[in-house]
Amino acid sequence: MQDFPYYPVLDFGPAMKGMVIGGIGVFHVFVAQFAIGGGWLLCLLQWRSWKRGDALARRFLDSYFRVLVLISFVVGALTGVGMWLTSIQVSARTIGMMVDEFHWIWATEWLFFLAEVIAGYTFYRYASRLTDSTRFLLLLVYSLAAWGSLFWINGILSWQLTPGGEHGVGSVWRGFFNPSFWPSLVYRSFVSLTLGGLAALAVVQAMQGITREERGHLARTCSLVLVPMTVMPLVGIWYVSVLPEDSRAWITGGSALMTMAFGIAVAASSLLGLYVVFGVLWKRLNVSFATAMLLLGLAFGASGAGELVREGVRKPYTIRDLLYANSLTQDDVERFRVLGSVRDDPWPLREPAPTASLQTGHRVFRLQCSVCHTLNGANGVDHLVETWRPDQMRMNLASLQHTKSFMPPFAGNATELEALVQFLLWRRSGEPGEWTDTTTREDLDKNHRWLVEATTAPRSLADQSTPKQGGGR
Amino acid sequence: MDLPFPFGLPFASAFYGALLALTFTMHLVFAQIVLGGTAWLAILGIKNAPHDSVAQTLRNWLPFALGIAITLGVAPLLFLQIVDKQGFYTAGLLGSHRFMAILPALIVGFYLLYLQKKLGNMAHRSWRVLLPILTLLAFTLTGYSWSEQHVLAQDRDVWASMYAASRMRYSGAEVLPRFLFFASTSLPTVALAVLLLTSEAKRCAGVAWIGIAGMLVSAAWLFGTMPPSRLAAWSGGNLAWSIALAAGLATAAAGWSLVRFRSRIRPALLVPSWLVVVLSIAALREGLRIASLRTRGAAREQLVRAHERAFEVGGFPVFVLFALLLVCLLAWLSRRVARELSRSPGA
Repeated sequence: MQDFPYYPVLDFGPAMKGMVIGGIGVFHVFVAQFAIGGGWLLCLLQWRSWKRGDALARRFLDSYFRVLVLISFVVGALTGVGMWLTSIQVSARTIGMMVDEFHWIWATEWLFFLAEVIAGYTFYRYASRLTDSTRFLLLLVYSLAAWGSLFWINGILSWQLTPGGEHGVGSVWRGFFNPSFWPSLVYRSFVSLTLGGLAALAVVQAMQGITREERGHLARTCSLVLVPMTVMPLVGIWYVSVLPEDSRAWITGGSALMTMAFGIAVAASSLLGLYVVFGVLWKRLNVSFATAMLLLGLAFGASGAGELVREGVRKPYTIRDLLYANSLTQDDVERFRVLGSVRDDPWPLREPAPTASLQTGHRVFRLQCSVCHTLNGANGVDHLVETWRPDQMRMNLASLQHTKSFMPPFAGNATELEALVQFLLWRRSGEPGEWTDTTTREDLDKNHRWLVEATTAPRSLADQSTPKQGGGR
Repeated sequence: MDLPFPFGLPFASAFYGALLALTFTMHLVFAQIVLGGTAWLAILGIKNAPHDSVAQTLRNWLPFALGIAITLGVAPLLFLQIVDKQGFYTAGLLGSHRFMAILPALIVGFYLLYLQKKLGNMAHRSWRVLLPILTLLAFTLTGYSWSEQHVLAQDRDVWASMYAASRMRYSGAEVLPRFLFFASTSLPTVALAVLLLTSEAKRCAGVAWIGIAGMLVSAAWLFGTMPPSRLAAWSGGNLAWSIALAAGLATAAAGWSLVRFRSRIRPALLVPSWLVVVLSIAALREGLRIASLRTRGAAREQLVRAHERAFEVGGFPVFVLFALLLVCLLAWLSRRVARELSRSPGA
């Protein structure tokens, strides 16, 4: 038995696993960042109420805080836990490696979360009986703790994209303060302020019993936290500049989906920024409830597209240079090229196949492909290979990383590759009850040759030279 | 392992195991307040007691308790991923639908609790009955699912067959009595919390007694369902924690007797004894988890190596530093808030 951790692999039917984690992830990021930006806005409002005697700011603060607590404390916290649970469903090994590497960072983040919740609940429960200075202190602790949570988690998430050094003992801080840490932190902080401000604009319009002038006054106060939005293009450029070259290539034409998602994120952010700068801050337009919700919708779209890009540009890795998207390390790939990848897989198949070779092929699909591909649903392999001839299939799968540079190298031997080919051909034939394996010695030799030619090295858009030689069989 | 958990384990395993047990204890107290409180609220709803002081206290404090329970639940979830990565992940994958259902159940439970707090005693009778029952169902599903997850994580023999059959529900005999034990424990816990917040001493003692009786019955049932191999784990160090649990329970029972028959409130006796009970439950839980690997030498070795690797990772001093800062900050803030509250008109 090898050390490789085989976990049961789930089947989400026609949905890609990435869709499941992506859906919860985008929602969580949106809610969590709203809580952070909202906290700073509350500090600003309390400061004005305290130092300038702005009674309206105080009245608004209490309404807004309820919205913040009711949405962020429970939905934010639980979707955060949900990210862990969903990550386990999609790639247990990835989350396991992240926990191994950064559990003290996560534990520290938990302390900040605890401070955020305690300060927030104390304010929620007792604010009406406290002095202005204590109210401000509580909100300051709340906001600093909420932003602190972002600080810590940002190091872990940005590490996945730009690990910033070798992995191993003592690397935690080098990994934490990795190349994309600061641009990512500034970017997310500004996004948080924008979301907090936009949500406040909606709450201002929904408030009852205030005049149009008061509404305008409040809207202008809340708009102050939108000011950093004006430098977002520069932060965006900074962020993109620290991306690895191949990741940058994905969003500048290398991958149609990534380029489109990046374009949506940039376009939605720009529209939002232009409206904030010219409409809200300069022309002081009255932002109606409907417009505020529309702007929030736009921000949600930008956030969603941005998160998709962040997840997508790591390909073929889930942790760059350490773990491929299918939860295999480079060492695993090299070992499995010799030993085979599913020889020790203890998990039985749920659906029978008529021959041992087909069963092996199904297991290979399950282990290596199913994290990103379904059989015949979203990104289904049946559709992707339906026009490929058998030899073409053998060659393309043997040299996966050259067929599509965002794919990891095939991690199996010539027999497993043939089993996968036979499995896909069997499915193309309508999964007949009997199957005659027509594999010849020559086919296996071809598989072997193509695997050797492809090598085990990953390949990226930035590395379009002749394939590297060496590596395992 | 002859020494009580976590002693006798390799240092890294003992360290993470102890952290898991301690943080789980903190989470368990608030989780039990929420589960027990919701059950009590449901009964008061059925009994039609809208102005009941216990109902008002529970409605007032349960949303806060849930928020704290969820927050405190994050830390044991983190350390569990180090202590028993393979068992936790595998059980989470095998029972994925129910595992993931915990999230919407908790979100629904929180908003129902908040709704009850907002409506207070103004709610229509039917809502006063229906809302707590729905809330109780949400938290029962959550608690039961965790019991199921915990037992499944250790029952390695059924993993492959469960996966092959696409069975989403694990029906191990230990799950129901284990959950009932946990649910019974929640009654004395919430009774103690209510006792500290109200003057309803006799009613709290009654609820605590029902809970203690439930704990004894469900513990006997749990023993009855355990295979000999699992019962064998109930020796050495685990027996020591069982004795601590029994002693804590006996002291608490004596304390509740004073409360019930002499109307004397003895938080100084009840609080520490109940903390011993909850801590013993958490320590036993972890001690038995380790013991379940006794016959699986390779898995155990692998786990110990994983703990040692995790222990070598940096960042612990930063965690300790911020933990100290947090304690100081919160102590200072609490003092300041308490002082202002005592001077405020509503005091």
